[in-house]
Parts: sequence; structure tokens; C-alpha cells
Amino acid sequence: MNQQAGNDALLDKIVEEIFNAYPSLYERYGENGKKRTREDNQHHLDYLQSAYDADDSKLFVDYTVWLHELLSARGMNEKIIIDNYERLIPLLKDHMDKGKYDFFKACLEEGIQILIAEKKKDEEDN
Amino acid sequence: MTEAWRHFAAALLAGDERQAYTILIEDTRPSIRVYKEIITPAMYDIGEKWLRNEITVADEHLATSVCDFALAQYTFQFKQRNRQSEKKAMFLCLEDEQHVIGSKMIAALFEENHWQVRHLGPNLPLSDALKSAEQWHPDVIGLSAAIPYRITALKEYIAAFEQLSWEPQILVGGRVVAMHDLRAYCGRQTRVIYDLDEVAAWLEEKTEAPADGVR
Repeated sequence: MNQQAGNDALLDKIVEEIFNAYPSLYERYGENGKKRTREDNQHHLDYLQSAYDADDSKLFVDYTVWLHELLSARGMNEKIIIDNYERLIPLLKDHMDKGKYDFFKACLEEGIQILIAEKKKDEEDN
Repeated sequence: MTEAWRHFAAALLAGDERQAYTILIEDTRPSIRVYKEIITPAMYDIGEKWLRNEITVADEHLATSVCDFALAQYTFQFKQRNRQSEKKAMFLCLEDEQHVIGSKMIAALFEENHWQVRHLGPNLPLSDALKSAEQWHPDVIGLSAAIPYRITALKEYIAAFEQLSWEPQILVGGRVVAMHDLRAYCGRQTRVIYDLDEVAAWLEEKTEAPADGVR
């Protein structure tokens, strides 16, 4: 399986999982919602790959902070990103070698920790 | 008094090319300070406004387009009276990279120092960039990247340009340089540029005649 076909299959799976878990998303956003979720996940993977190539998890962590700010301003809280990242971790395993998987997993877990800290900060502020 | 960059940002968002240009041309600061103190903070502010959902993508594109126009008009004064040297500099943005204003300000500094300049714009695939370089033989190749996930591509561009037979000087700039240390990917021909002052100092070393933009 080449890289692009592997990514396509992975993106299909993550979109399916998210929309199965939250049927109201489809009712609200329809096919366009699926398209956007796919694009978002392509971005997550692009940043993970870039962090891996540069051996610098900070690139992914900074991206997560930026994404959180972007989505918060559009009425979405960190839960949606945490849920997405948590679902990605087990799915990635079949799509890459162990070294890369371990790196991606560590980045996603670091991202989740940052988002949990943001959530706490928001709760304290309110 | 409201800072000039705020007026400039307002003109960009209003789509007012005349006002945007007037703010630049009537400012008495040297050109490098106009770039650093007016254009750069205005464009950063517009990016932040988009991030905070205070303006739309369309607003941001309009602002960029007006800024591009105002900057081109502002730098045309230097082009008109330039006596061009033999030295050539080529600038480009990586494939998928749309942020051109930063490298256009750098290109303007080169023009003010009498260099022949070609800016190849946004989103240029490596193979086309290489072909263009081989035809024109620039002494300097400036690469710009703002999106962090293009770092992998940036490494490829640097490596490819470092193979060119006449060994051009390669300059790498854009927001990614502040996000990740790129020096590990750079050979002795390549220099990471962190701000406009660094470019100006580098140009001063290379240029004997005073720059047109310094007034």
C-alpha cells in the first residue's frame, strides 16, 4: 500500500468513526461536515509527519494550541479535538512502522495534555 | 496618536488601495522601517483577527491583495530610479505556500540596493523553481515558508538549490524559522534569515552604493 492510499484509508476510517459516534454531526452538517472533518484530519497528519521528519514534537504541540484557538473562536471547545486525537491513536497503528507510530502517539498524547490544561484554565476563568 | 500600522490595517480591510498606499508613501521613515513597523504588524494583526473569527477568509484575502498593491506601488519609486547592477536575486514561496508579502518586502530591499530581482510568487513547485534558476542564474535564491508543515518540503528545496553548479547564496525566511531550528538542514551556502534588519545588514556588506530606500 503506498503512502497516499494508506492515508486515504486512514482518513476514511477516522471520519466514519467520528460520524458514527456523533450521528447529530451528520444531521447538522451533512456531507460537507464529513469533507471538513477529513480535511482537518489531513492537517493533523501533515503536522504529525512534519514533526516526525523534523524530530520536533513542539511543531505538533504548537499546531494544537493554534487549532484550539481557531476552533474556540468558532464556538467549538477542546473536547472535539481531544476526541479526534484519542480516536486517531489506535487507528494509526496499522498504517506505519513502530518507530513512527510511537512518535505520532507521543505527539497526540502531548497535544491532549495541553488541551486538558486549556480546559482547566477555561473552567477556572469562568 | 494611533499608530500608523493600525490605520494601514484598517485601509487594507476596507479594500481602500488609495488610502493604504498614501499611508506608506507619506510616512517619513526609511523603507525598512515602513516594512517593519507598518506593513508587518498590520498583516500579523489581520492574521490574528482571522484566527479569532473577527474577519472572514475573504476579508483576509482582500487585505492581502490591497497590501500587495500598496507595497508594489511604494517600491516602484525605487525601481524607477534604480541603476541595476549585475547582481541577481530570485525569490519564491514553496509549493502550497501562499504567504508572499514577507518575501516581497525582502525583494524590495534587494531592489533598493540595485539588485535585479525576480519574485516568482506563491506556490512554486521545486522542479519549476529549479528550471527558472538554471535559466537565470541568480546569485541569491530566497525561499519563504510560513506554514510549519512545509518544513519537510523546505529541506528538499534547500538541498536541491545547494546542488546548483554556480553555488548561489540561499536565504531562508518566513514564519517557520521562528518555530523550528532550520540550521541543521543548511549547508554553508544557506543562511536562515530571522528579520528584515538581518537582510539589510547582509546587503550592506555586499553593496557598495547606498540604498535608494534609505532616506
